[in-house]
Amino acid sequence: MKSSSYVAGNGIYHRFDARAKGVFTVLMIVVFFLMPDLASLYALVAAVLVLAALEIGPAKMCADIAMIAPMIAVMFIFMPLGSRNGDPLVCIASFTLVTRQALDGFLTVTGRFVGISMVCSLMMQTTRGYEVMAALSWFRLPESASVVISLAMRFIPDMAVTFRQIRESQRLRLPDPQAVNVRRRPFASIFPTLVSMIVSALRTIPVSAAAIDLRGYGRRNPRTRYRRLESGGLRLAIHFLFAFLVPAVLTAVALMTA
Amino acid sequence: MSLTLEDISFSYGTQDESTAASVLFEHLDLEIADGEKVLVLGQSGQGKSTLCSIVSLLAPQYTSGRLSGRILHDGVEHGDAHDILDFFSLVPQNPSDWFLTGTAEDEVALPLEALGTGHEQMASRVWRELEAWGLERYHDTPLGELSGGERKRVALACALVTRPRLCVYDESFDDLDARWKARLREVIATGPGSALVTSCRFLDEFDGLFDSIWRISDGRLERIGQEEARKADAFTFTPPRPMRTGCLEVHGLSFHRPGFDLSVPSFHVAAGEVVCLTGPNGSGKSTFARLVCALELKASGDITIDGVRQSDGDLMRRVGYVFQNPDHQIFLPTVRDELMSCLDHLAIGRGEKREKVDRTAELFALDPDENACLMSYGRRKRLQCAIYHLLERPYYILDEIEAALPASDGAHMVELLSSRGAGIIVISHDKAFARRIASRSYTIEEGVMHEVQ
Repeated sequence: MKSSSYVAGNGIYHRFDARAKGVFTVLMIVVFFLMPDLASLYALVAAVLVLAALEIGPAKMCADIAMIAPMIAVMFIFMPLGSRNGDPLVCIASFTLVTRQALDGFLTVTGRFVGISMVCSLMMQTTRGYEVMAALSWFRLPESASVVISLAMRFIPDMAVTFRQIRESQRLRLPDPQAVNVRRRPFASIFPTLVSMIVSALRTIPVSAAAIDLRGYGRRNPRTRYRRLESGGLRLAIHFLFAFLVPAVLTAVALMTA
Repeated sequence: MSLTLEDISFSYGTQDESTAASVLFEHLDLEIADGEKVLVLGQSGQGKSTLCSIVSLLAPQYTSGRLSGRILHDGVEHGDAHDILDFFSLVPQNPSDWFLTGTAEDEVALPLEALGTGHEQMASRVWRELEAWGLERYHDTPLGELSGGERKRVALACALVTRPRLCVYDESFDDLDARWKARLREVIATGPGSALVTSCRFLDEFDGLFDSIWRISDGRLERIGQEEARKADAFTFTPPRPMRTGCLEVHGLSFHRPGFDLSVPSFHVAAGEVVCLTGPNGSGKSTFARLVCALELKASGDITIDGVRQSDGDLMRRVGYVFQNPDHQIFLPTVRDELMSCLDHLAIGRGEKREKVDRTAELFALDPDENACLMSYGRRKRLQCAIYHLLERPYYILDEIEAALPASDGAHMVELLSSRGAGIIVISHDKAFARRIASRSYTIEEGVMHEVQ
């Protein structure tokens, strides 16, 4: 049962320094908002998807998209209907169902959503947890924030595991097909699983708080770090250069060709 | 390092002010001298884990309740758990929820980081401890992917890496195979520090290990001798009577994932039979259980019941699997909610369902209105068995049922589940327990299961 977001690999992005990768991720998020038109936005999304397919494999990339697909479906249903002004595209009698501006808005938001999600996923899936923490420490992240992020990185993948365990547990409670006096119902309802998941998550709060105390968080003496990133030097400088240069070049090219 | 508990009283808080709090301990005293090794025995729900939390200065801060009395480490009262990290460690009963990082290596390093240990010294101590507990090859494996015994070893490494002068082991022998139980015994016996070990039963590994043995019962501690402790663990077991014919058979089963292979050439358990499965930590016992319940995808092989090949859906509904960790199977607020959820599909009235639930709760000595999340680990294991008793499966797999339960309770669970003629597979590390209750046994060695002759 997989319980970590990291996907092992040896691609160029896997080997990219975690600090530079963090900067690159933040700058790429900004770049998605600077794209002047849909063509350049989707070209950028396609480039990120190609990078993801090369680094984590096409199957994992598709699984990531499948995870955000329900959100896109909700946006598809509500966004075009929410915007009533503009040139009508689809009409039923005198009622305008979708306008050109609403569709543009939907495609823009969806492109940014997919792109940003994939860039962030790629950061987490190509960087080990301790490298992320070491990078944040290098950027002088306060200790309390570090604990919160460390816990999030430990528990968010765990939520998926818990979800699966609850579903398994519920499947194992289905009635024997040969038993008498049984109501046949499909195993589909997600609601009891979500309720159980919330109960399970709430139950871990006091234990996690106790564990934080037990492991010495809150002591007055200075902490040391077990995980440290390489001091850097020329390699780090080159990685940072790429982290700044690539988003800058992408933005410039997009603006010039618009 | 000495430990003194002076006039300790503890009661669990209730949400309702008008309701009296549930008293767990009253005027409890315990003295552990420097270097002394002490064992506290007790049935599940008697407060062993709460006692460990009190000694660790985690109760009542993180458990709702009221505490009075004094806890002295070397004669000094301390305020918070993080203040005593220099000389104290706790190995929690169920370590999974206590992990704060993603891998064994990071987890073991965490207390050393808090103590401000230098990097080189920290690296050498982390690796030494990982090696001591056979975790080198798992140093980078996500903790969620380790077996129950491997997780327990990570918790032990994490607690012992700081070289504590007082260590509390809350049911730490459970989930470990014979090799690691012997290793833990050696660590406690030869370590210079004091040790407080809790357990629900007297294991063979405890023989001659402790300076004093205490029994916790009805909120009081009573000193007992080793022979009395051993006798208290005696139990009777009535083997099930075959009530029907039939058999669960496995042929040519194989499973593969990176770094792990399991092969089961042949396995069978008849209706009304109790069969035991043993093997080292991480050998694939739980994986076999998951394959038989179709929770994992097999690479090859057949699983038949009464000679008929079973689909995945049928296996899930005919083989009841009591997980090793009850927290992976109990999610609803109360005992009644959990038991009622098993009857959702039955076409019977609500009154009849309620009656069935009450009867089952009584049979398994559970309070239907008790909060399932706050029950002791052992009681949660009993609840798991109660759930499957209601489901009336023809076959059951009990994964380390004896862990956190007295042997008599474990045997009683097997009796109750087999009372309708079910075939039972008991996965266990306790060979003495397995010998008593099982008619045949299988083991897994180097990825291959075979019957023990």
